[in-house]
This record gives sequence, C-alpha cells and structure tokens, in this order.
Amino acid sequence: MYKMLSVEYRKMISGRTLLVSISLGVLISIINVIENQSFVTWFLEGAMIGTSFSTINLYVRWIGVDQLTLGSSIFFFIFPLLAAIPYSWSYLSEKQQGYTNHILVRAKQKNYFVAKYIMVFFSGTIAVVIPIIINFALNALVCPNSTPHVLNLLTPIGQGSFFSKVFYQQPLLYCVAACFLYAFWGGVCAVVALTVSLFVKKPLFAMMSPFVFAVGGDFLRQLLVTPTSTTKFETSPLALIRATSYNMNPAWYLISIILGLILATFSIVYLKGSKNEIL
Amino acid sequence: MEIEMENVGKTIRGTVIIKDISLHWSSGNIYWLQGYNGCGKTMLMRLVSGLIRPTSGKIFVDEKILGKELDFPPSAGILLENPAFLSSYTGFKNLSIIAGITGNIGKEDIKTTLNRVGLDPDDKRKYRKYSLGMKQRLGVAAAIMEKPELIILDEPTNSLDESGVQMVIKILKEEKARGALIVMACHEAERLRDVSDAIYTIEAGAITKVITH
Amino acid sequence: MKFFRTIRYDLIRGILKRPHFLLMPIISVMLCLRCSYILNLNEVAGSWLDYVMFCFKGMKPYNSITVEEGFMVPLLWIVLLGAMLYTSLEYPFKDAGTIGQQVILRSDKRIYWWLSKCIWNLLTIFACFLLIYSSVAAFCIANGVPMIFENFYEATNVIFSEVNDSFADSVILSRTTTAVLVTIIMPIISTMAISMFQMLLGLFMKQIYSFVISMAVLIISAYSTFPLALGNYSMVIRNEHILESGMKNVVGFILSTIGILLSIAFGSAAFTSFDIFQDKKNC
Repeated sequence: MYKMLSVEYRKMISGRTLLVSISLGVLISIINVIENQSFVTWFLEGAMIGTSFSTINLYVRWIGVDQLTLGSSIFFFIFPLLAAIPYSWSYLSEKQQGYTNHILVRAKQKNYFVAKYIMVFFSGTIAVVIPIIINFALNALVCPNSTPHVLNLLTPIGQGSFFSKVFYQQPLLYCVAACFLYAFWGGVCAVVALTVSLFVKKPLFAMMSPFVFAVGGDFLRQLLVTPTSTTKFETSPLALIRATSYNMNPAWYLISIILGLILATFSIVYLKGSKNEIL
Repeated sequence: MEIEMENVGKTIRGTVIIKDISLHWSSGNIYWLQGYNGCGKTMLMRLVSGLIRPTSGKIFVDEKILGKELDFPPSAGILLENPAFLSSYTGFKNLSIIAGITGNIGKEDIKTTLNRVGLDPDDKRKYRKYSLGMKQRLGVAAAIMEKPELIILDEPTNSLDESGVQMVIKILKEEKARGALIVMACHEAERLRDVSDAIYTIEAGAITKVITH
Repeated sequence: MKFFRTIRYDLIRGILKRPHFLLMPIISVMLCLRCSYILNLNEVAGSWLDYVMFCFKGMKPYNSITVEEGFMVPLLWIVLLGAMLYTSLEYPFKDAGTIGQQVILRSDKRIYWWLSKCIWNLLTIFACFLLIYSSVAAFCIANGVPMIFENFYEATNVIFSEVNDSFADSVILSRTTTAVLVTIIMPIISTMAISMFQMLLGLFMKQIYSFVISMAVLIISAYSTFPLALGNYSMVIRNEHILESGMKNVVGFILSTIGILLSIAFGSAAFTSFDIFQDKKNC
C-alpha cells in the first residue's frame, strides 16, 4: 500500500496540470490583491472618512473572506475546476491508455483505488490552498492588520457563520481554520470528479463534474426560490464552499457535509473500483 | 510525383530529431525506411506528409515547396502511428466520411478497398469493437482507397497475421504498378527487401546508408 | 470545393450529431418557468419578447465601492452562456485527436481546416440561440403567452425591477429593429466573439483551461462594465435601450466583430505553422 501511495504521489506531483492549476489560482488571487491595493490607497486618501480600518483590514480583504472583489468572485466560482484539474482525470486517462493493466498485475486493485483516492484528494487540497495562502501573504503587504470589528457592516461574518466568534477574537486562527476548510472542500471537489470518472468515458466531463454539480445546484436553487422560502442554513453549493455566507453555515454543519461527501465518494470508489473488471 | 529534400532538419524542444537529410524520390517506386526504434523514421514521414514543418532545409513536392507553396502533398494517403477513427461508426462509415472530403471516390470504391484489405464492407460492427489487426487493415484502407500519388505507411504490418502481411505486400506491388510513390517503414525485413526499390537506413535522424535495387 | 466539403463534414459531425445542444431547450424552458412564476406572482402578463429578455437578463451594473452586499455571480445568465460555450468547446480538438489527421490532410490547405472550424463555431452559437428562441416560443405557445415582438411595460417593470428607476426612454421596444438589436443581434454576436476566443485559446492550451478563461471573461463582464468585457453586451439589462447609460450597441457590435475577426486571423496564422501530432490528446 505504501508503495502504491508513493507511486501515485510521484505521478501527481510531477504532472504539469498541478502546477498549471496552482498558477491559475495564484494569478486570480493576485487580482484580489491588486484590487485591495487600489481600494486601500483610495481609502487612506480620505475617501471614506469616518469609517474604521475594519473596512480595509487584512482579515476582511483576504480572498478567503472577501466577497466584494473580482478576484475572489472568479476564484470561488471556478474553485471546483481548480481542484479537479490537477489529478482527478488520472484514473480515466490511465484506463484508456491501458496503463492500469501494468499496475493491476503488480498490485491489488483495491490498493490502487485507495491510493488513487488519497492522492486525488490531496491534489485538490493543495491546488486551492496554495493560492489562498499566497494571497494572504501578499495582502499582508497591502492591508493593515487589525482585529475586525463586529459592528462593521462590510464584514460578511455574522452569528451562525463558520467560527464567527474566533474571527472577531483570534482572526489569524480563523484564517488557519478557513484554510483547512478550503483544503477539504478542494479535496472533496477533486474526489467527486474521480468518482464521476468511474462512470463516464470523457476525462473532460469528469473534470468538469464538480463544477457542473455546484453551478447546476445553485442554478436550480435560484429557479426554485420563492419570496416566502427561507432556509436557516446555507444550501447553495457555491456558497457552502466559502467560509462566509449569508445564511448560517456553522462549523459542525460544514464538517458534516464534507465528511458525508468523503464517505459517499470513498465508498463508491472503493466498492466500484475494486469490483470492476478493467477492460 | 517527385519529392526532393534539401538538407532537411527537424528539432523539437532542443532535441535534434532529423539531421540534414537530402534525397530524391519519384513515382512508381517503393522506398523503405529502416532503423531502430526512435531513429526518426516516423518523423521523416510526418515531414513528407506536411503534418510537421522542417526546422531547416526545404522539401519540394513536384518543385513546389512544402510548407510554403503547398500545405500538403496534393494527393496523399497516410497511415502514421496508430490508426485513429471514429469509435461509434463502422469501418465503411469511417472511410465514407474521410472520402467525402475529397469527393474523388464513391461507395463502390470504398467497398472494393475494404475487400482488398480483407475487411467485410457490410460488417455492422463499430470501430471500437474491432481487433487490433482489423484496425490496422482499416488504416491501410484509408491510405490507399483514393488511389493517391503518394502513399506513406508507418509499420503497416503491425498486429497483422500472416494473411495480413501477404495482403500488404500484394497491395504494395499493385500500387507501385499503378505508379504511386510509396514510402514505408517496416520491420518485416526479409519479405520487403525484394519489394523495395531503395532502402534507407536511418540512425539518429540521419541517413547512414542507401541501397538501391 | 474541398473547403466546402470540409465545412459540410464539420456541420454534420459537429452540429447534427452532437447531443450537447439538448442543454439549450432544457435550460431555456427552466428559465421560462421561473419567469412565468415571477410574472404570475406580480399578476402581470408578459410576451415572448419579455421571456427572451428574462433569459438573457444578466445583472445590473455592479459598483464595488458603494454596494452594501458582496458580488453575486448572475447564475441564471452564466449557466445559459456557459452551456453554449461548453457546446462549442470540445469538438474541434477532439476531432483532431481521432480522425482529424486524415481530414486535415485531405483539406488541401491548413487554413481550410481552421476556417471550417471557425464557421462551425459561429454556426454552433447561432444554432444554440435558435434553439433557445424556439424553446421559449414553444413554451409561450403552450402557455398562451402572446407571440409578439414587443414587450409589455408591466412585465418589463417586474423583470427589470432592480433598475426601473433608471430605465431608458426606449425601454418599451416597440420598434422591431430595436427589439431585434437588443435581444437577438447583441447577445448572439458577443457570445460568438467569446466562443471564438475560447476556440483560439484551445489551439495553445488544453480545453479545460480555455473554458476556465472564458468563464473568467463572463464573470469579469458581470463585475465590470468595461467595454472590452464582451459579455456585457449579451446582458439585456445593461443594454442602452433598457438602462440609461447602458452599454452602447454600436461599440459592442464593433468590438465583437473585431474580436471574431482577430480570433480567425490569429488562429489561421498559428495553425499554419503548428506541428500536427495525433497523440496530442486535448482535455
């Protein structure tokens, strides 16, 4: 099993797609930094007299929390794609090229799929977390560091949000927790694509599947919303990916969904993958 | 058809694939390229077919420069790498689609060609159900069906049984008699030596020996 | 003659034989249902044109400085355009990886292959729009909605409620030419330009990356009213005939046309010098 993991890790790390996905994410996150830089300059020139530094502080403008900039909008819209691009297509590609034949005569089928699952998950986590961390570091050069104020209306974190108390008391700790959240979401998006790849023939469709599910889910949700329909908890897939949301998304709620998805996808990959004949 | 290469070279990402090749080929002849795996045979065939451009030198097809005055040889049929067709269509349908581009041949010609290569024109199986040998035969059929002036065959006997190899040799003779210029790479040394008019030995992208009959 | 045969090959393989187009009627009927619900809720009746305008509504111009809430991606609009871009994404380079080498060789000139793909791309987008308009029409006929090329003021008020304090004087598109411009010409030509750009990018990178970039273009268009963000011109709500100080149609038409022509030109220049390898699988 360890050897299988090692082989999969080397394949994942040496692929160009991981680098491209991370580069794309970093490029998009830099857009957020550039926007923040001009906003901070404009603010400090006296444009918003009477408003506190909470409006421009690092923890509010950082891509993981911000909802106002173009950079954060693009990043979180294509988040499922960024996570799926690096390695989720690998199983389908290897199967179509006949590479799986070489592996399966040398290793147990279930070990192959477990190792594949773990590495696909890992590829999704690093593809999204590295740009977010780099964004934080770059924004720290631009935005002042101060504890966010709970009365600031521009901060999209309220009661019922993910680790909201931590955000207003220990914002750096909040950022670490949010990074973990995004890492797990990235992993989940990647393994959803892997799971779909067990059932389809086109690597492109498998890669796009988490994006299609997220956007499609939101699309259906918007079609079905009525003036009287309210949900206590967040139900929008694209909003669930973010730590900040307009409906409640407490930590236990998000962690439950993530664990549920991991369990479901792992079960499918393990059971279907181990039992399938590789043709 | 006359094909002439003047000091043709090809470099990809810093690696020299073809090194300073000059040669002259004419219709009614079979030219056999031989060499170890990775010596540049397929790349040379790709250059002649116009699919890739030379980094240096010129390739003339009937005195026109390939890549400048001509994009591709005016009448060519190729079998390069693995045969690739549409998996959800039959062999006949695949050939019909390709033949529809030039519009030079009809259904009867396609059926005749399929019979020549040992495939059943009425076979309803889709391409994805074909065995490797059948796919190879279809690839040969695609290369010869329009009676092109230039035929390029890269390892045409791959995956073929004894009858398939005999079929290829027979087709080579027939096409040569028709006046086609045939360029091929193949490892069936014993059988093709007698069929070829010239044998080019390629090593590390350069022609090291030429034997003409 | 070979050029026209190449085009015919692409039209048959690339349009007639692809199930991707089914996305258009499905999405547009869902949007019509939503529109119908909204209009019924407000007890107003709409026309075919109102339904079409709802499908391509988009979102009002976003101001990141004065706005009180975060930027929300206009999902209904982006899904419709995204489906069209997905439809025009895969075919050219998937084809090149299979039977394409044989087709390119028989096309005589490399530029014929590229031009044929350009024509295919433009016709694909046009076919998508045709399917959307037809689906909306079918929905309207089935639900007794008037099939007229004019919008009703009450319905337009409801559909564009977020901007009705800054409506343009010509918001009632009672002149057919204006209605055609706003709901047909501008969305089609701007989407064609983005699709052509996506196909041009596909020459240099994997299709998934070109799709990511075209999605980014759509989001940039929703976020900013910068004239070069061509997606703006496919949003009816931002059209100068709907919104005061909206996007200028002339500018949009010229920029989109230039975008299409530049994509064709750059693609021709690039493809003429490319090495064609069959095993270069695009994904």
